[in-house]
Amino acid sequence: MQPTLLELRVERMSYPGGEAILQEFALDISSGEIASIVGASGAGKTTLLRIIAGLETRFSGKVLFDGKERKAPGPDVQIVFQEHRLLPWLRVVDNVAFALNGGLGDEAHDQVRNALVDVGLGDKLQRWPWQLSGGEEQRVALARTLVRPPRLLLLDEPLRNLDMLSASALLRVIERIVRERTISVILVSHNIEDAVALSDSVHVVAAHPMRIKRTIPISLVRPRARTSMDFSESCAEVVKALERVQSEQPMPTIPSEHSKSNP
Amino acid sequence: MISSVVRLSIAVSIGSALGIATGLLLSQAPRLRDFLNPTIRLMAPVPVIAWMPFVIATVGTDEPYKIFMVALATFFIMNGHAFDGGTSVSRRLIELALIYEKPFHERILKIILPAASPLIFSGLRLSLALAWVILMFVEFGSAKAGSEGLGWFVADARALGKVEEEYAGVLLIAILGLITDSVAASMCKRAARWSLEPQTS
Repeated sequence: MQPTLLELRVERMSYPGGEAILQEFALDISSGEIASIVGASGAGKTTLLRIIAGLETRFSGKVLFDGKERKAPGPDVQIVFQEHRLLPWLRVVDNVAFALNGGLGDEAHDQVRNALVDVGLGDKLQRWPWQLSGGEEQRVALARTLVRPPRLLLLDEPLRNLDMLSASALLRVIERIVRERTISVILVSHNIEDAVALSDSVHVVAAHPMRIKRTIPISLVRPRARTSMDFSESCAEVVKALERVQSEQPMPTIPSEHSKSNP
Repeated sequence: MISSVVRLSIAVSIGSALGIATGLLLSQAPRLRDFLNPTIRLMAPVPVIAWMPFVIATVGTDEPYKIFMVALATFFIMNGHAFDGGTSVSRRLIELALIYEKPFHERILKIILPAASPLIFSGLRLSLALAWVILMFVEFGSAKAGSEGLGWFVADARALGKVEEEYAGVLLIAILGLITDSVAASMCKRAARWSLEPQTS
């Protein structure tokens, strides 16, 4: 059993004037574990990642990292955001080097180049961000997190802008690197197949407030072939859990035209 | 002519450097901003010429006076532009600096300054235009024997009825203004080359 890396205990988190997004939410991640969180849009998954990254402090509760309370953001927990967040005034190579401190010496330059080669962009070091496709921008953002490997990597829909084949190729790159370096991962995704392909466990969450309804361990051998029967069965199990959670959710109340026009 | 250009360069450099530095600093330091900004915003719209009597009473009518007046005009424009540029930087980019633990000065230099640079350079063009006006005014005003500068040249020619020289001076001012504006415009374009996305799809 690996030691616990992250212990998250959120008593309550809400934006000013809004209902609770998280309430009595607990999540433990052990060292080297890859976990996914799947659930409806707007459930608060991104907020959860922001709390873990230290970017969101308006909550009661605590984030224990390596047994110590974590209060500020830092490079030991890095995040690939839904949007790439590249600095438009820096070339690709300098955007990746932004994660490093100090100048871009020979050693640092090699590190940056290797990170970009890992994500398949070894030939685009000198490009400007606007010269890249959406998928390439996302890969540069991933290279930026890998050049200075974190202990915990948070992935917020990192494959959203990629076509299916590039997405599964990139997912294999992520899988290889995080397993080589024992990086823990929390992946937030709407794509069940991606979640099953990468994770040791998939947490299915319900919204308002967000809570984990079911945790499905995925014990398929790696590397995982998406075409195998076992893989499909695991995906089906997650989909079923997701559907059950959705059916238990209270339907959002939308006033109909009829009720509006009646006095 | 040389002395006017030198004066303008020194004054605009000092005014811009101070204006940009304070503008960016205030945009990122909320407490300092609450403390200083009301005063700066109150003083900014006051025409620079209204400061003239105070400045003359303090430093006289020599070189420091001319440079101070032009630098003052530049300062307020650059401060306002840098401040607006700094406050409009997306929180999302600032969060990157937090994750990678960039110290405050690196956050300013690597994120806030480049993000604000298009606005800063448009402020610089505005500053240069106003700087020429203020410079001519102070050179006119302090015209006395032995003074130098285009403003004095034009004022002196007018006083002596040398119409050709007067208009030659005015033309020279126009040409110099055009040159400084072109230089600023090309600097602006160069600094923002990262944002020059092709307009064709």
